[in-house]
Amino acid sequence: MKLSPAFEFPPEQLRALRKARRLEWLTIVYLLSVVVVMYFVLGSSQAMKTAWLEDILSLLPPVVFLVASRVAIRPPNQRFPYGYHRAVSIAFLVAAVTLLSMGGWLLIDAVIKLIKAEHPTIGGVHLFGQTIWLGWLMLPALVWSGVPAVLLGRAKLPLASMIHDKVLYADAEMNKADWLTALSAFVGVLGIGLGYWWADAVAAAVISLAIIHDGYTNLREVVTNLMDEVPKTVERTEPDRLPRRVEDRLKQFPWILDAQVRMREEGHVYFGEAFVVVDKLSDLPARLYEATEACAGLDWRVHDLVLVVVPALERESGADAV
Amino acid sequence: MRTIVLATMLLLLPSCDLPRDPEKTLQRVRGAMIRVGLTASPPWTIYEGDQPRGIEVALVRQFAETFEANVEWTNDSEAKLMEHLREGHLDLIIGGLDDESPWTTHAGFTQPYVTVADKRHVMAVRQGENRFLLELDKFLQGRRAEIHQRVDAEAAR
Repeated sequence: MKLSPAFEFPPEQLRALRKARRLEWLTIVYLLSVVVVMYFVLGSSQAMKTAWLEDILSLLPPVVFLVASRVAIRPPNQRFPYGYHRAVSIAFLVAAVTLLSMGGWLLIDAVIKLIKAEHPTIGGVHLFGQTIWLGWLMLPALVWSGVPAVLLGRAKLPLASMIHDKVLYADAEMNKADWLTALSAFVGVLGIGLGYWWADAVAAAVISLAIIHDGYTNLREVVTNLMDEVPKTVERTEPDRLPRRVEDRLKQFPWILDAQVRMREEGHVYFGEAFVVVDKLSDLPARLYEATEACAGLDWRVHDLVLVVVPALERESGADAV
Repeated sequence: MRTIVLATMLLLLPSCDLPRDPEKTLQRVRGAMIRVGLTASPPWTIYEGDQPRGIEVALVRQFAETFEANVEWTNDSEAKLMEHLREGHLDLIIGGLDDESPWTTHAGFTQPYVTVADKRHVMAVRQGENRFLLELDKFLQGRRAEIHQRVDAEAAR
């Protein structure tokens, strides 16, 4: 069986990957510290509970990234001739579904508290011979859960574009949005302090909506990805120009009369087929090989491109929409 | 973001009368009346004749004195009292409650203030009345040693 080529990152991307892995380890250590700190000051605040669960859920993407970035670059074998690139998407799918369902459950929980008009009870805590309001401890814990997360998210974002890693990108975006969670819970706790019992459940609802949003965007991303949507940049704002560039490169060969390319993303890299119409048939194998190599040289993400010679190409409407 | 957080903190921290009671329990009882429910649970609460006594009864009386408040006692089953508390007809429930009490949907609880035979004892207040609860917590935590002595004295009897 002809296996897909083994994948290795180019040196620059490899450096970015190593840095991303270090940052993700740091994220996990940081998040664990947040989870522990928050656990001790939870009280019976729904907003705090929701923010705490959000912190626990935030552990999923870094773990997915760390595992998947190891698995994805395993060489193809007889059992998996295309390699392990899709492992990333599957792990990500699980994480997205978890986020979405957890967010939904927390939203229902918050709304029930609101309807039943449950008053959050937060009393004193005995600390160093003094009894102070537990709410005063929640506020610094929330600041710790918000500010470093934003900085980590900002550091990871450019790396995600560099290694074309959508898990890393989603993770960085979630970290960056963490200040919203922290601020909501902060306002919720202050609201309880001021005697507005409903502030707690409202803050919890806002946080769960943020979790649902994360889950939904990630789910949409990974499902469209698994359906071989046309490749997009990690920011998802526009289709990747790469398939078009491959097509243009092929057309530069004088012996290629016409070319059409379709590509799909598998993890960090692209697989695809190029259909070409040729005018001369002498020395074809060598020419095709040369053309394939030229395309692979365009970008490290052109990982496994198959050239197919066809007698003619139809111009379909919409095929050129890219 | 940090600016907003800091600004909020700076604005609110000086007004350190937080937390406040949504239903104004502390304001209402000050100089007036605390409505206390109790179930008999010696030595914490003992009901003989018309006046209750016991370790927790004495504590509640002392606590009420700090607000110059009288105590109105209601003696009933724990279930009935918890219903009353939830409906706002009581401010406080005592009767040998510990922190494994199943009434978490009906009441808020103080911090454990004494541990006897692996039971961490608490009192129950109306949910969300956080100022009243904090004052009670401060009162109880400040008397831990004293309470311990009293419990030991009871045990020795």
